[in-house]
Amino acid sequence: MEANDKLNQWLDQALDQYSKIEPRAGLEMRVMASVAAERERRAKQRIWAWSFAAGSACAAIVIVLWLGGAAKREYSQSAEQRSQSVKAVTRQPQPSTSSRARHLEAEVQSAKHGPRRTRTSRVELVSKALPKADQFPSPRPLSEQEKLLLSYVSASPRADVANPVPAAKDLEDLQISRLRVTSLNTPLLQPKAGSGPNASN
Amino acid sequence: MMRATVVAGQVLVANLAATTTGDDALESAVREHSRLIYRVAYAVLRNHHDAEDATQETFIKVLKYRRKLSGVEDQRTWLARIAWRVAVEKRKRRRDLPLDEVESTLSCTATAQEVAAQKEMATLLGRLIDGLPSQLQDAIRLSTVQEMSSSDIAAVLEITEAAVRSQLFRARQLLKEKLAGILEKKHGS
Repeated sequence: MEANDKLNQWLDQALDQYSKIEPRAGLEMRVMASVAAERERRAKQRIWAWSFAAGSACAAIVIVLWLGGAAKREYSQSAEQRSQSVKAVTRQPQPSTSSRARHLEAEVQSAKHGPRRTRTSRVELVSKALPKADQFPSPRPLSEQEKLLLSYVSASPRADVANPVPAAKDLEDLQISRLRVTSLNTPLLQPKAGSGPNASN
Repeated sequence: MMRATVVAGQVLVANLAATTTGDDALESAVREHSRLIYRVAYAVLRNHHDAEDATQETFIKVLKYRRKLSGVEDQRTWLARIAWRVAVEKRKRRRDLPLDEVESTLSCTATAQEVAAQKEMATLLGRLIDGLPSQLQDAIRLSTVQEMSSSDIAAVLEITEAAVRSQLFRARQLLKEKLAGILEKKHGS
């Protein structure tokens, strides 16, 4: 019992002294100083973060604007190319009429400024797309037959080529013998003696 | 545009006021509770330097929530809980367990013998407590901090008060058994 009491006494005393400790003087000042330093560090971090975010936003805007400008330039270049191809079509050797000139001009305008949204029928669109020629059929390279004919004409004498049909005078000299038709003597066709419709049996 | 500017200005002023209020609340918390925080940290770490580091770390953590500090009901227990967690984390990271240090601030008039005796007692008790199961260690260490009651310990450890009392009782029993064994060996030899 005594031993137990002694143990209890010792334990109580030991536990009492275990954390009965005083901090060094100026603990509060040191804690406040470290808190202030941390506060400043966080404020600087926030400034850096905002600056970075603002810089990224500006960079993104610049990139978007630059890309938009590049797209516009590309479109204008392709429009120019289209107008040039239309001009090449208009330079073909065809006498231009006032109405056709107006058509072509409209096409050039649409190539320059982009397609206009108008309700046009398919026939009109097709007719606009194809150039109207004065000569029909439109000239095309010679075929094989035509080439052969050309070569014959160039090789043959002029008279033969000029007069392929004989004259009437020549026709007059032409004589044809009279036609003679002889009878045919075949045994089958000649009637026999004593045979015939009146012949008796 | 004007209205948006006015609203933004009001928000800024409110934030500034909250920040100022939060700063004031933090300052008063440091003044009132730094000693308790230090002792809670020391009970775990058993080292003056580590205990002070843990105290600073605790208040730096509180800095994040300084605007809500004035709304906390029981600041003392709330801070003690944070300090406890910080000290336990620090102890886990530490490789070598330091020898118990007994500050000479115990008493200016203590003799060298008394200081030596106290140091020996603290070292022995520290070793005995380290030999206890971890659950009992937490309860008995916090109970050595004079400012902490059973309800405070229960709030820090997030258990019931009955559980705290039960753990303290078991811890004391085990400590007495170990101590008795040591004394028997001592007298026997």
